[in-house]
Amino acid sequence: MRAPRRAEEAKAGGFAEEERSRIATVADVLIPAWGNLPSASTAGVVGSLLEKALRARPDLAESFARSVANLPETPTSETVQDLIERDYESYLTILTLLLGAYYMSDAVKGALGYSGQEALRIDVGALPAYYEEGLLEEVSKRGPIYRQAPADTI
Amino acid sequence: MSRPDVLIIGAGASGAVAAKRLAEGGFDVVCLEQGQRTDPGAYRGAYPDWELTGLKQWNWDPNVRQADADYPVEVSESDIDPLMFNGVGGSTVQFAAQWPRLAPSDFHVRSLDGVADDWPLTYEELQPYYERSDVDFGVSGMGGDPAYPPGAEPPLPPLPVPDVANEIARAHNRLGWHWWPGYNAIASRSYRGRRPCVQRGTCAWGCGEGAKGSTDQTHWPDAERLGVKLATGARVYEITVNGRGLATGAAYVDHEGVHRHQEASVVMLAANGIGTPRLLLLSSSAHFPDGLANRSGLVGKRLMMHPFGTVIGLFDRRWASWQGHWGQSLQSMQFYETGPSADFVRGAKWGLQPTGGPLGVAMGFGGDPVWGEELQERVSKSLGHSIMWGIIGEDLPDESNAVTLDSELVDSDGVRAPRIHYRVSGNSTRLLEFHAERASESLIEAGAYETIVTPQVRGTGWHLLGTARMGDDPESSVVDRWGRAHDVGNLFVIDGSLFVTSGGVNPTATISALALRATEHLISRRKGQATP
Ligand SMILES: Cc1cc2nc3c(=O)[nH]c(=O)nc-3n(C[C@H](O)[C@H](O)[C@H](O)COP(=O)(O)OP(=O)(O)OC[C@H]3O[C@@H](n4cnc5c(N)ncnc54)[C@H](O)[C@@H]3O)c2cc1C
Ligand code: SF4
Repeated sequence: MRAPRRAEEAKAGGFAEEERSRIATVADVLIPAWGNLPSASTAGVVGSLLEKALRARPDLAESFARSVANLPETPTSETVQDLIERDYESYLTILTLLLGAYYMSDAVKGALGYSGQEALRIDVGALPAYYEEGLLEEVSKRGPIYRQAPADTI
Repeated sequence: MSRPDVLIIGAGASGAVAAKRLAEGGFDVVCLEQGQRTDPGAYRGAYPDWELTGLKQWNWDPNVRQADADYPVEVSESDIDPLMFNGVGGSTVQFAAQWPRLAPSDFHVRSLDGVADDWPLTYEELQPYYERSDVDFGVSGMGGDPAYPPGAEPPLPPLPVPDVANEIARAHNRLGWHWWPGYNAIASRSYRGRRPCVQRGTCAWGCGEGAKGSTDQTHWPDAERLGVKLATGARVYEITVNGRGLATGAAYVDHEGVHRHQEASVVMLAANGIGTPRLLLLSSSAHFPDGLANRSGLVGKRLMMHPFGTVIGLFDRRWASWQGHWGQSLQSMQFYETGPSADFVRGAKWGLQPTGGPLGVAMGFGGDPVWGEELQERVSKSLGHSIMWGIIGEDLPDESNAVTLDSELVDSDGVRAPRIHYRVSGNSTRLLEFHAERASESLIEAGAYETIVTPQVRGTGWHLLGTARMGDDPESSVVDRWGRAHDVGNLFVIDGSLFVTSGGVNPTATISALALRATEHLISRRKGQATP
């Protein structure tokens, strides 16, 4: 078992080469290539994206570094299964940060067709289809559906 | 600070409503709020890390967020985690701004359905306050809804809906089921200095546009302009009383850790359904050995948190399912009333909502996160292809569901933390199962090829209600129909603690209307008001 890294080092994404390779391997087990979606390492998760994720979640830096240090040299699906059963918190920490980093990748967003949360302008002139088609009138025609209180309770 | 007419504890929904109205009525008001002001520029909705920070810094659960303003809540005996935001605006800073009203029947569930208790007021009595609150909060929606008695139109037209919502509306018309454009305290047009909604869909992590009707936007600027003194970083730990059993003010720890006392002629508790009973229980004294205003023994009891379920519909068609107010685009009250052959009483409101960004989908709202190919498949199927009915079920009051004081846990000022005992009832479980089945039918009829049902989700205690209930009888209620404590003539409770029953809708339209009503009653009776 390795000594845990200091939080500040992890925060700066300061992982040694060997650790980066372990992170990349576990990242690809957790987030494999699928359809037009790249694997985590192809998307460049282990680099500036992970740094960004760690900057967003400094609270996880230390436990991430520790959890990664505790992984075997070449993590596999069995490693992940084992982690889920043995140390769910570590699994969640690793998954959260790697997924957070993955979905900040432009390539991944492009493949998902996810443009991010955009500011849109409400078209004040546009009437909703339900209005134009008279769908609300059908609801109104069916009449009130609320129950009145019995007269003696009022 | 000298002795003001009224001290309000808590600057959330109800505290803001009371502060503004009292100031308009010429009262001298001080409000103590344990949290801080939030600069809308601090919200992360417009940044790529919004989902990551939403799991921690902007988490709805104070036990996870652990910000300076938060106090811990002991939940090991609760089926639902209570959620809140502590700061100016209170939980409205993070609320989704769904703004339905209770239905007329909600005020009479004992008479109509033989369960729980009737309220000491009617829908008709509250209606004018609902309508004025709609104007104050800038509610978007459409009048003429057959689920409610006739009344004034909401001040703003409805927010836009995604096209799939039109499909769901058509489906409901084929089924003969109710639906209506959703009511939201979100500005669909520029309104009283607020910008219109930009449909970014991050409402529950703070609205950077100021379009959402959180009370830091809707009420506090006016209240402070009218002279209300709002002290932040002020954590109250006791309501003080004199020998005549009247409240004299409150003891609090200020932002520098200094213990202080704020005097007042009248004290209003607006600390929410957990914070208020916590304070009443903390304020036991020789005069009130079981906690302040607790002659009935009901302070902290009858906690209702609205068990909440979701049904997600997956569609082949593609749209930006992560955009749009979060909030509700449509609302259905089709199964709101007790059904003739149901094995449960009362019902639920459904609200149609977006399904969020990729991380939220991957982490599985209410379910387990997944990994590997299953993860990629889940996100690809759902993101851009899904919409969700959120189901809020009536939560009947039960005295064993309660807020007490924990014997060990304390907050950062050493004040005893609340402990929750809460179990989801059999009625709620059966109700949510029935509703999840119907909501699936709705989505399938609208063209969904599959639905994902989560009948009840743990992390959804958004609505904190019932822990200082109102009523006419001092033996079976904590406060009267105006929110005045039966036992302490100058102490008012004006937050969600007041609720007699929960109804099956989001509560803040009702909390705000009740707070306005209670405040105006106090104003009208100012001459006869007992003071210390
Ligand atoms: C994520 C989320 C989504 C929600 N969505 C909706 C929705 O769509 N529709 C809806 O109707 N409702 C919604 N709600 C619920 C809504 O926010 C609450 O019903 C409403 O804000 C409650 O108002 P309140 O006045 O009772 O308390 P709050 O708004 O919670 O305010 C209480 C205030 O009191 C302060 N306080 C507590 N104790 C102390 C103390 N000891 N000293 C000093 N200050 C204290 C707190 O810091 C807080 O600011 C949501 C809530 C959350 C968290
Ligand atoms: S969707 Fe509208 S209300 Fe919600 S955060 Fe964006 S601008 Fe604010």
